[in-house]
Amino acid sequence: MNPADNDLSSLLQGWRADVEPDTGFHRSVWARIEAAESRKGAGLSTLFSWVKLLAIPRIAVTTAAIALFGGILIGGVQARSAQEERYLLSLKPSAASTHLH
Amino acid sequence: MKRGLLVLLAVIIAGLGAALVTRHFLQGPPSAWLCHEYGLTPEQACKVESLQQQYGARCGPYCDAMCEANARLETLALAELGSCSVTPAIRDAVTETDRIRSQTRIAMLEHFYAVAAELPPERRREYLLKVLPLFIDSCGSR
Repeated sequence: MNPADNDLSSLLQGWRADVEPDTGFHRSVWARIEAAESRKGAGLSTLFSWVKLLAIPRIAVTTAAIALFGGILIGGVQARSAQEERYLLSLKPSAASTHLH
Repeated sequence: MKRGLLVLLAVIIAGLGAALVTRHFLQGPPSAWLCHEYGLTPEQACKVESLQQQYGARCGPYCDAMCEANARLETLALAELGSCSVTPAIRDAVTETDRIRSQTRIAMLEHFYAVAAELPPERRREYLLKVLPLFIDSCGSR
């Protein structure tokens, strides 16, 4: 090891980090945690307020109508898909002869 | 809040019920889908239904014959366990199963073409592309 290395080593050993932690650090962490929790709470309260809205007859009827329409639509699409599947299945020789009997 | 939840529950049940009832009432014979999908006239629908019946009548004996031929092949193959050799009888049985399979496949293809002939010309290809995999796959390779 040469003398320059020894100088550098002793310099590094004598060095101390002199950085003060930011005084607002803890505060900013807690602020972020609280903000996240309040956002979560806001989502739940939005859901609850929406459920409360369903108690209003006009909104309840509208929602029911949308649900019925959606149900009919989905049922229709599913029925069409099932019909296609049944038709293709009926073309298999074993199934075709079974359908006949 | 409680009333809202009850309404929500009722709405979900209504939606599911509507889907199930619709699905139930839209069921029909297998050829109903074909008639609806390809916009067949009542006469064409009757013809397709008749073709389907004929196809079933043709396939029945083939299926029975195939079951018999397979059973015969199995019996012969098990009987030759001692010698472990492919006898002429086994060869004949294998040939017989292949012959029946070929007849069945030809019957399938004839049916597909007969049905396609009843469809609007511009949609025949679409129909055949849908049903041909059944014919091609009947060999069991895929």
